[in-house]
Amino acid sequence: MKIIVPIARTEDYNARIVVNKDGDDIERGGVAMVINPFDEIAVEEALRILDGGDGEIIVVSIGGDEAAPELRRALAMGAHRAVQINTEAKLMPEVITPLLGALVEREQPDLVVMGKQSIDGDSGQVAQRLAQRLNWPQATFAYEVKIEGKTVTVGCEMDGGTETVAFDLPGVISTDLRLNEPRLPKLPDIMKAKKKPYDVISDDELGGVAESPIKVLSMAPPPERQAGQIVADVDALIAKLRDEAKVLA
Amino acid sequence: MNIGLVIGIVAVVLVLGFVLTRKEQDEPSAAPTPEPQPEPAATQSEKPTLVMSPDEAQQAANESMASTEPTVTPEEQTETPAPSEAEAEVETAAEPDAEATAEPAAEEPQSVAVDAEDPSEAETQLAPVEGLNTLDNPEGGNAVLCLLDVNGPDLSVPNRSTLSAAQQIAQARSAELHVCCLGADTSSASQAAVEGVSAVHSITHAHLGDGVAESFFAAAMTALGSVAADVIVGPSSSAGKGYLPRLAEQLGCGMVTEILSVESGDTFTRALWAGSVIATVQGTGRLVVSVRATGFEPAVTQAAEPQEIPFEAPVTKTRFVGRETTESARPDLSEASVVVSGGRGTKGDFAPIEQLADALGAAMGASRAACDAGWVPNDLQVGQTGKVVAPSLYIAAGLSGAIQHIAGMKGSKTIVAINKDEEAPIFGVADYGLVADLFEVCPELADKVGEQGLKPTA
Amino acid sequence: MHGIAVVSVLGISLALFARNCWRLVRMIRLGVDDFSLSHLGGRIKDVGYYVIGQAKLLRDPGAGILHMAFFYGFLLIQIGLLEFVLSGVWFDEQGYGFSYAWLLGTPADSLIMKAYWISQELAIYGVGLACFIAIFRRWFLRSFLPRLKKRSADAELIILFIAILMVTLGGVQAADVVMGHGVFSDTQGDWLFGRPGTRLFAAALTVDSAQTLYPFFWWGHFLTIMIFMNYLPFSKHMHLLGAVPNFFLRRRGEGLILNPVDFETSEEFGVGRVNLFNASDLLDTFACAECNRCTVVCPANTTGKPLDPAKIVHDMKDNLYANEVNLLDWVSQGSEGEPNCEVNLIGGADSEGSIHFDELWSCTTCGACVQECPVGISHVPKIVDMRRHMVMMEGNNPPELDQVFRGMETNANPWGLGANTRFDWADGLDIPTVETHPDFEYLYYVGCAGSFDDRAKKITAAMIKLLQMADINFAVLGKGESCNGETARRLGNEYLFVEMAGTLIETFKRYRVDKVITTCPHCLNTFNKDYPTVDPEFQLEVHHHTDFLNQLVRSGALELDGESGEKITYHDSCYLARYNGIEDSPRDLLEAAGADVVEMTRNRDRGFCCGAGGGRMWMEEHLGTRVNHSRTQEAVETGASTVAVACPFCMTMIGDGTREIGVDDNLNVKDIAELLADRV
Repeated sequence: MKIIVPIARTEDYNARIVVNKDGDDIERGGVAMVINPFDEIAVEEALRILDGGDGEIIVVSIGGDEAAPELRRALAMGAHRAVQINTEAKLMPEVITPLLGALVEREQPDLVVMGKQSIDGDSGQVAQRLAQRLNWPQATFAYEVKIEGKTVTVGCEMDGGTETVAFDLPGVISTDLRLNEPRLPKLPDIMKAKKKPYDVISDDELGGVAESPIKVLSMAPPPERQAGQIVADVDALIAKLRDEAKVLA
Repeated sequence: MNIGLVIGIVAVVLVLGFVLTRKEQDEPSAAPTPEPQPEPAATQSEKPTLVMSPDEAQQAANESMASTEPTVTPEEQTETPAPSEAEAEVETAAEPDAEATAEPAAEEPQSVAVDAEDPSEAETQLAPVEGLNTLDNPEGGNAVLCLLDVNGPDLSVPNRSTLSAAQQIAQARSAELHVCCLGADTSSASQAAVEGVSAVHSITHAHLGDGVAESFFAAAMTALGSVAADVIVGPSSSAGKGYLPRLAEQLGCGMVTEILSVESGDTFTRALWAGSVIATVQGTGRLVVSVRATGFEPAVTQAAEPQEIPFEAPVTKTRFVGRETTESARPDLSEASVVVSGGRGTKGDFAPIEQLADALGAAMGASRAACDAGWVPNDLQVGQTGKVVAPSLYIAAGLSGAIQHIAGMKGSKTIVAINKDEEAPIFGVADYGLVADLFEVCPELADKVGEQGLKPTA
Repeated sequence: MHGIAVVSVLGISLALFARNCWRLVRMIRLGVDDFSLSHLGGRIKDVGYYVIGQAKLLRDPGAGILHMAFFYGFLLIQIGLLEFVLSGVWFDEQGYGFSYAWLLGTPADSLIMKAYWISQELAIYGVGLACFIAIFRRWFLRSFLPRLKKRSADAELIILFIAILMVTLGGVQAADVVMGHGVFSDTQGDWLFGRPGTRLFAAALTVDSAQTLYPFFWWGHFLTIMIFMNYLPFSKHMHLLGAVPNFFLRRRGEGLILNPVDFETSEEFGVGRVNLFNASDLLDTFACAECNRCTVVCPANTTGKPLDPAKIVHDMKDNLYANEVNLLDWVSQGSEGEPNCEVNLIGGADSEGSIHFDELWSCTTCGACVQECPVGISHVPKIVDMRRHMVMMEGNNPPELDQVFRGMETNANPWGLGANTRFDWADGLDIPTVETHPDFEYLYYVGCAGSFDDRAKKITAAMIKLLQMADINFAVLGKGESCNGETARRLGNEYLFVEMAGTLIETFKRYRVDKVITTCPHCLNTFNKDYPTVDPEFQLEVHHHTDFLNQLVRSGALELDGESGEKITYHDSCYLARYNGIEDSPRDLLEAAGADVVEMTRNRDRGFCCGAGGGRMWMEEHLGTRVNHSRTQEAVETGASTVAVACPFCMTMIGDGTREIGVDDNLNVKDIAELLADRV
């Protein structure tokens, strides 16, 4: 079975994110970059699906050399091959999807597994867009995946509960937080990863890109809240909520 | 002396014997070697089979095989598919072999998408589907179509907030506002009018109760067949998140996810990095917009006479298998005006949280730690990776306030923090803080609120 | 004839003994060879101090004195052994012939002979008495002696052997007296020289009985020696063979220095098979006397964890024996590939391996075991070596450590908090950094706890205040500070440690740091002991804040107004007292601050661990009772109102301890720096 796992390179979710002085990006100093946590879960799920059997997991990044450490880490986790798609275009869902679609055409995988959203843009569009582009079924916000033969059954997190859907391969799955705990690569695997196949292709080879119709005009910090007050006891709290905040009556 | 010699020789023999037998004990003889692990393949046969049984498949096929080609042109939109065609489809499909039924269904394309979906013709820019737009402008006319996924007689708060957003966009663009309710039960469409709306539509179909994105996508395309909108607005519900991107891809246009505000007809704000940054974005051309409901006041709705748009639901490649809802007498977390959340400080005992929630008629929420520990179901998680809520009153008890949690609730109007640790970060974002033990304070608060007959104002 | 019998028995026994000893040597050499004779003078001093001087024995005075009796008695009797054996060879009808007196003169004439006879008398009757006391102690005083919870058949057999030896030797000498065997019958002289013990024994014998019993005594003694000697390599008594080589050949470094890992050439890291241990670690197992001094001071063991340092050492030996044949075969075939070990070294379920995961992960690396061991075994490096295998080769570690490793990799701190928030503690304060104040003399290394942990940030604040008051020319690294990797090393993730150490050393070099002050003993220890192995050329002068502040107070740069007379007890951090010998500075400071210092029972280098070391700070404690509760309870019992600590980990553990056992209203926990800052 061949599985493609696109991975995004994002800021570590523990880093403090502040807008820079010019309001066009964030302060980058001291901010560690990692594999987008949801994509890391996707790599792990792909590994669990193959479970050491026959198959190939291809991890893909779009951008440039800066994502190499993340691709290597995915290889160290157990992925078989890495593909780095070089592009100068600003990475938005409308740009990413055609490139991935073209790669899928080229590679003909059975399954695409990816994170439900990347924690920088929080758009959550690519998996669905890709599925539509390929006319493939999709299962989003997966917390459980089972594959039997060609049939995939996925438990999805939905409003107010969970839902189970099924489809026949090929299809697209987007991962949610509780699907699995990604493994930490072991030292011997990190060493082996250095020798795994790593292809670099340019966006032209995949049909080129056009700019996204969505543009970020500016960035700003979120609105500040007023400073709060400490109250002495329950009675004081009730008084505040009733008389000052007027949320109780 | 002779005795001594005899003893000596006997002793040496004993020693030799001792040493030689000891040596044999030390040699590993039949030391049990650990058995190699059984082949992983052996265990797979014990996994529960997940393929539908032929009977189930047939049932599903029967249910979904009521449709043929969905209508394409507006002139045909009022026609229902010829019953005979439908029956013919059912017969051909009613075969016990699950795989065989699935194949023809899969191959029968969602015809609205047929042209652009041929893989060999993939282009980087998807052109809108031919025949869809009946107005002169292939980008759609100057109209805003608000798609709501509904269920039940009442229009939910998130949907009404979405209507607000759609209203604002339509006003900013001086465009017509159309509303279309999609669902298995669209009775709430009769309350889905707002000031300035041009028309309210509904698409009712059993499949739309299953939440499968492809069904909603097809319904949305059908709606667009009636309303050639250039801005499509939907809520950021799980259904919306599932199908709106598909719609955007099909239309070949941009999508702005989870807007927080409408700045102008094509400019919106949205949150990046889980709300650490508010970005102002602008979209050109046709747009799909999803709305973060907590960013908008729920619209004041009026009665409406919805027009039903006929809809031939396709057999989707993704099959609905089942659903588990967390039943609760409490209000839904994303809708409630009061939320009481518990965290690690409850040490697993959510009784005080529940008591306070009941006293206030509030929804219950939890931190990631509490969900990960299994103390409460996952869908109660409030936070960056859980639900983003913005109730009138948010009470965080025994919750330290990790950044990821705060990201999910800082839009709340009034925040109250209850924590034994006065240094907890939650106090930095709270409007009112009480440094106390939640096991004492929550019941006390619940009791006093009850005694004094206080109720939330929102 | 007699002589021939003696010589042949002797010959066979010695041959057997030599063969068994050679077998032990071969097993030890299955390990990675790291014996060296560097610092020869130091090694000889070690043997003198620890073996001849029995230095560690008196830490347990009762057993210690007994052991010294056995040991010195044993040495003295060895002197007489040659005489004894030769006297059996040269045998004639007059009796057993040989005596040292032939060479040195009779006791009456020769002072040396007098001394010799006195020594033998002392030895025989002293050791005999010791045997009696030892058995009495084992049988009737067991409930008072924690190390004797389990009856040891091995130990009692050894005591029996020794007792037999003493009785038989005494018997020979008594019979000599009774039968008038030449010079041996001499019982002239004043008290001790007159051999009162022997005379007493002789009084119980008639000439006839002496005659009959003589061969039994002689051959009894001789054969017991031969049997005992050959029993020795299979019992805990082999510590006789192992102790001296252990002190002589071991790696220099007081037993707490971890083994280096070769990442360049080797493909296996850490120890997953017994032959991957260093040979000196294997030698340790043959020096073990199974005295369990290590067991009873182990904080994990005393709180019910499965870890027993003695058992680790013993299981290593067992595993070596179990795999001996396979390993020797493998070596003889050229050491290709991996040997097929029948019994795993490390395992999960009971029968899977000699040592269980839980034992390895329970260790806090406090070093109490190493401190107590009289034969110089270093338990901690072995445990860390096995952890290295678990983490780096198998990725099999307690799950909570995954986030710790990831946090250190990504954000340079074990909590994984955003690296760009590290300097937030200084917001609003005017703290000199290496960027703003490049002419600093001392670098104050704040550390991860001091930067991120809310409680420890107060220690940082107190320290800054003190440094500023004393006008010290210091700076901090600010945003560029990163974790030194100590935790990673103790947890076995040596690769991560080397990376992090490399990064920090680069930072130090970039800002030309050569003097460091730190408030954390773990940071102190890693800079002092671990970093020289990463970069041997990089010199760093490191001060713990208690030492540094003590100097400041002594020199008058800091004046304390201490009149409080408050009762304060000081908790010795393992990494400060045991690992780095700093015990007095904190106490001096407390006294200078006017406190009434009360000591806990387990203090200084016998201090009881707080439970956080060895990476356990980051792990859940599932088994047994909590280590920090035990220590907190001990602090409560001193009646002090404050526990003074000098380490942010100890601060957390004892602080949590006071809350968890409910005494936090009566017992405060403060760092030395905080106590001083309040009184300056």
